[in-house]
Amino acid sequence: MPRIAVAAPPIAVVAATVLLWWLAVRAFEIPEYLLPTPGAVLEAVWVERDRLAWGMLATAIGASGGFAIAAALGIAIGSILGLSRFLERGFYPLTLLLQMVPLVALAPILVVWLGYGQRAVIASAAIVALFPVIANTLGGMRSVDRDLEELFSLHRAGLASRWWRLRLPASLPSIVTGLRIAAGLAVIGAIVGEFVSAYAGDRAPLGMVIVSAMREYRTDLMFGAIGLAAIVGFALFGIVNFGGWLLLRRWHASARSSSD
Amino acid sequence: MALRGLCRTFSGDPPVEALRSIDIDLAPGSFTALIGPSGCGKTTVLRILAGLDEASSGGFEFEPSRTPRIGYCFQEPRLLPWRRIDANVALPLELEGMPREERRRRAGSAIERVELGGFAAAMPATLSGGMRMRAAVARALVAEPQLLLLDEPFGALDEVTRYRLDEMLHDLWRRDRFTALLVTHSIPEAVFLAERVVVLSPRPGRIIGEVAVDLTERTPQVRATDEFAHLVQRVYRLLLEAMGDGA
Repeated sequence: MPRIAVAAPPIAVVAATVLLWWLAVRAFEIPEYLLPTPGAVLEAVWVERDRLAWGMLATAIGASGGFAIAAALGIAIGSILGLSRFLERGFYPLTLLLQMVPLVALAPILVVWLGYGQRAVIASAAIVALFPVIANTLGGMRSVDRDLEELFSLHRAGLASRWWRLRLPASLPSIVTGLRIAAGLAVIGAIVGEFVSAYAGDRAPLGMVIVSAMREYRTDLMFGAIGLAAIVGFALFGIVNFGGWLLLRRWHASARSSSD
Repeated sequence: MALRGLCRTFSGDPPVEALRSIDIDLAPGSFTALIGPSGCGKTTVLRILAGLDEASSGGFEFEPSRTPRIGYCFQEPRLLPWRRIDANVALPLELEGMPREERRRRAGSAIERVELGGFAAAMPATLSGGMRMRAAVARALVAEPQLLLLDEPFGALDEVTRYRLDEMLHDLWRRDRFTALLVTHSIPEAVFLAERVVVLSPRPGRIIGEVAVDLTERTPQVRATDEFAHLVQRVYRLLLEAMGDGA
């Protein structure tokens, strides 16, 4: 499909939404503190650009720090659970149970444990992003081709060699899927962490900017900060997607079809 | 090297007796083919030799009491889809811990020998079935095995490709003189490649008889000779007997 045909529909929908938004605010005379116009939001972003840029940076660091921890820990835990049926049967239901816990609700506890500040934010992002990485890694490890496992048995490959040369690359498509989900979740976890771990000042993260704008009824600034948080999420997702494509493009169908 | 009194019964309910007292001598540098109806345990013989399965009794004897290096060609190429052909071929050396340079050199020469030169950098998915099987043969040969086990390696290929690969395999064997044990369903393939064709009965697999193949030369043309047809007939008759249809 030509690029323009791919890009046109979403651009048209976004443009129409923004237009409707602007028309609605004008037509129903909605007060500014409830719903500002798109123009007012852009203006607020411009006026507060320094503060918001620092906020974005702080949130990006929190989210990507949490993401990195979730990725490393999730791949490690998923690989270990994938080693034996016993471990999987023993621990996997537990991880599912933990998934039922609204993880963002743990953020206040993290603040108690780790203190106010970025460490709690990173921990919050990591916890929220961890489970899809574990689940997808385990799924990948479980579905490694038996015939290829046998090839490694034939050559008496050790566990570490088998993991590095067979199980990890074979699971990569599935792991990348898990990491994509984790990228979006990490930003959610970071913002919630920022809500509760209140470290204010000129270089406060976006979550803090949103909370203090709420206290001042500065809806325009809140919308701006939310939009920028979404951009952080998009960026992280984009980086993960690109990394996955780089790793898989030479051999896996999922990467090949999207690059054609 | 020899198989002595090899038995294999798979536990289960009821237990399945797959092989009953198999004796096969594998003289150094010989080429033996194992043929029999499907499900007769041919593949199990290879798996036991390769250490992928264990004999219930009897087994693999070799002298001097040193485990021979074994190369194994599966029914499918079993290449790692994320590795280039050269890295796939080098895998057995890599798992042995051989240094990279040496590995690369040997893999390159194995790739040349199976006539895949120029495709060392290709990904498996971009090659045809026959080329992938050549790569698998190169991988089985890269560590210079004393015993090459071939589990119907070309069974999934079309007839013409299969003939070409049989001819290549014959040339490799004539040059390197490894001991080879081939499991196959194809009588012409067994006759073309082996010096000796051993016929197994249906399950439980027992040796019914064998045919010595004394072809003077093994060129593609030999397949069209009476001598070849006669050998194929002899193996076929044994096989019929084995199935209980020839009595």
